[in-house]
Amino acid sequence: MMPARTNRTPSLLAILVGVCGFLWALPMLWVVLLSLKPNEVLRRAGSSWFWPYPLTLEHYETLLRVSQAPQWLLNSFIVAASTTVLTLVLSSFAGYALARIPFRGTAVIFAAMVAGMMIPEQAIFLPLHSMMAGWDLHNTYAALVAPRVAVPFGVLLMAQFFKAVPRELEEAAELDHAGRFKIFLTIMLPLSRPALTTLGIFTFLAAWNDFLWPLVSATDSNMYTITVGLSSLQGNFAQSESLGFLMATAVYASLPMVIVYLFFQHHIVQGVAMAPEK
Amino acid sequence: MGRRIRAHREHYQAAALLAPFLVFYGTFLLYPFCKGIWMSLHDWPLLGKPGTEPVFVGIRNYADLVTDTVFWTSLLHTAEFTFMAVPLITATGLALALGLREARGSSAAMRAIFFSSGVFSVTVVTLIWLTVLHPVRGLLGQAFSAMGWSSIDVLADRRFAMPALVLTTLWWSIGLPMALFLAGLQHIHPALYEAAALDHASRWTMFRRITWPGLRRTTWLVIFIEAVMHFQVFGQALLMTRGGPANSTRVLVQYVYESSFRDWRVGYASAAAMVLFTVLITVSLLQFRILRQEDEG
Amino acid sequence: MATINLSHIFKRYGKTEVLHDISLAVHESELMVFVGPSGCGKSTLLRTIAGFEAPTAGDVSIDGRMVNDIPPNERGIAMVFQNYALYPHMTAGDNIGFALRNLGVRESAVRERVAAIAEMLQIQALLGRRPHEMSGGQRQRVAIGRALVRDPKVFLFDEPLSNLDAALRVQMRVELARLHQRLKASMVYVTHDQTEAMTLADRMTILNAGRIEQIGPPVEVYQHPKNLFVAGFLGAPPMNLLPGVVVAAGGQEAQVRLNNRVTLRIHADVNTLLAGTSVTIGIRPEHLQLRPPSGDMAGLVNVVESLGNRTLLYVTLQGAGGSTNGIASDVIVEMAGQQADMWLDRQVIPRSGDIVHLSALPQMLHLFDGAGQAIDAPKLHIGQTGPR
Repeated sequence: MMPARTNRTPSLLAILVGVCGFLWALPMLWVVLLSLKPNEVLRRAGSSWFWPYPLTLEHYETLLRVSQAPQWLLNSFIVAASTTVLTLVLSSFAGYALARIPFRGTAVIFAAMVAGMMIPEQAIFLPLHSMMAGWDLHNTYAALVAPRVAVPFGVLLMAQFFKAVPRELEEAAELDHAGRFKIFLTIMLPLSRPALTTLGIFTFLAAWNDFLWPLVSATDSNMYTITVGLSSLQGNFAQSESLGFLMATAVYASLPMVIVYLFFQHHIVQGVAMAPEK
Repeated sequence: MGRRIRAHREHYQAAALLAPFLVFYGTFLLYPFCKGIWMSLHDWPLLGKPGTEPVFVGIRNYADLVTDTVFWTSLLHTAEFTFMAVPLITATGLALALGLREARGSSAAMRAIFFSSGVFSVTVVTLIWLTVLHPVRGLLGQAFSAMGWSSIDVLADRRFAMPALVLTTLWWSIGLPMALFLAGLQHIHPALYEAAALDHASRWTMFRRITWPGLRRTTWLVIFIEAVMHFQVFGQALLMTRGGPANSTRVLVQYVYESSFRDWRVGYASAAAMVLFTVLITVSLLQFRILRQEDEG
Repeated sequence: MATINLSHIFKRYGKTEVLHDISLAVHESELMVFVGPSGCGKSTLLRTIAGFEAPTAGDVSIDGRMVNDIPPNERGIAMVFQNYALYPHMTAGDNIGFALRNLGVRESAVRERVAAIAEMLQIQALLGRRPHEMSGGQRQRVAIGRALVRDPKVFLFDEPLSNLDAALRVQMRVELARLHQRLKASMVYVTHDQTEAMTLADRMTILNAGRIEQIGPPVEVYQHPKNLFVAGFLGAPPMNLLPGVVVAAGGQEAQVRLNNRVTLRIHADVNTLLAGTSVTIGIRPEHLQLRPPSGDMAGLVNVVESLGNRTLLYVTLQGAGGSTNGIASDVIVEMAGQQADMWLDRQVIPRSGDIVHLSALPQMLHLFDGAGQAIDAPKLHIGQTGPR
């Protein structure tokens, strides 16, 4: 920290930050405001929009009653939750094996995973699309979940974590007649809760916000995730009738993520600073 | 139990734990990657329609890319976007981190705001900014009309379309660089500043001689992460401008997407995707090299 | 209770040799201490006995049975780790009972046994607590309890006290000694602290750079170090080691000239000692005495440290012609606080700047040859320390 300063007016930089904070929040507030404005007000161009009244929930009503948005939200939940559970299980298993079980080939597999981290999704979404088409798997949850689970980030994260657990703990357990799986289940897993939480949050977030792959794989509007579904509505942006509805859908689409964020803020900020250091 | 038997048992255990993940990894990452390279050497139809088989064409796709002006403009615009976005985002992230470090009281709330924008998906973000930038009904338009100025259709103007995308991206992705800089700042020992204060150093000197050198590694890290991330830009271009106006914002990933799903030239699109991959790998390797130098130096 | 036998143990990591030809035996009910500086291989040796490291060559036998290929949990050992290695999310009671439960012992029997151990170690109140809710000393006891519950043939301790503060260390040391007396168990104890080693050991093995320097009971190793390393390692403050040259030798005595001025008489088996040979003389600080001005060695007092129950003098010896140049480091003299100096007939503690005269009894001097090996003195009766 900079040395303590006398309590004068805050520095230029601090004021700048405050202004930026306001500017950053503004678009979000604007969208929420618009989502609550009735259509008549929206039709009238003019600065009357700044005025907070009147407010209405008609757009949200429409959303829940008529649109496909609830179905899309459900799809997003199923995909994100499945991806997260699978990733956590598979990553902790594989990460533990890589970190703690000495066997020939550890280094090779490790290197293969680090290399795999560098493959961007744009390099594989086309062949994946072709493969899934061949297996007739498009427009299924499986097709949306499987490619995400294959990302080696989770394994590397868990391996790094398990490597940091002191060897003595495992040796003591070995001395106490605990077999390897028992050690994993009763000692390693409970210890790794913070890492698993961070990984889980990031995986859920990434799966929820995934755009490119669901766009090409889920072409049936019933299968859209909320992210893709929202983009399909954006073509209607030109019409003022749908502006309020569109804003309501945007708020609706973001709500789960905002809630997750508010609850797990601490974890997210910590994990973000930790992950790229590898 | 002999040592050899123990080693065998460990192999078995390791295999059992690794296998589930490796199945996914091989099937949905490694194999598609290899297949992508394979596809780029073919004339590949979009869906396996009967009568349309992939035809091996060798490197003809790549040769065609070289002469394809739309491809080159896409590449150019992607580079343009990256070169505009990365410095801006890095500098802003640094400034915000420095400012947050001082304003200790409200910094938690401020940090929450800057971070929250990264939680939204690209469709939400583009929708937000389409609304903000709308010449008549948007925040910008309303503000302009309230002040008596005529509004500008930012996204339909060749001069402003790309900057608008950059601004959107700045708003969206400021969280990560800011967090990285904050973490980097914490690593600078406070005793350095105290010693400098005793030596009557000005705040600017402190920044130049202590903070900036201490943040070198972090700055490189941020630059590389942002460069790799933003070279893959897609959603903003597709949803906000559709590559317009007049192709001025068409980016590489969009080109790949349109080549395969609009033009049905999947093999050709794969070749373009491979070009993207090559650029990203090069940048990543450069990143490793420079970061390793930083660590040793 | 079991015996341990190590036969020609070697351990190499790639090109680095960490243990070189270690052969030793731990007797039944004995507390054997492995002591040495950091990196000497003592922990590796302990872990080799435990089975967490496999020797590159050599045999480990416990109770007469060769255990090289037997996994740690079947060797009949228990281990107390340096950082206790307690399972962090389990209570103390669960930590102790873990092994029994893994073996399928009936729940009621487990609880009984845990309670019995807890009573022996006086930790009944801690059974419901987690490790992070306990102090260092308490964790220590739980770790010992976990080792006890397995009813092992051999106890292994890997620097168990090094994470405790000084006062606690002394207290726990005494408790460990009491535990050993009570259980009469065979124990192997690793430490880098020579005070711990001296106080706890029935026998000590002094290790340096992977090799055994000396094995023996503490008093014997202290009084008869076999080489320069052991001589300098044991004892605080350490033994004074002074280079010199043999002037004359014959029979049971030799005369050694130090720094061109002082000649000392030493009792030693000197049959093969030729005049002109370079040797090193060792004198423990507590064996140096202040003498009237006719004493052998004269020196200038630099620093005086008063420790309450004793005083340390840092003295620079004068060389030829009375100068104090050319002497590398201070000679340390230890004076017991209550000592009424019989030779001086009055109690006087010198001050910095004073000239003092030092001498030592010939039988208290140690002689080491050019290779650092001790030249044996005629055997001193153990327990006889000579006039001080």
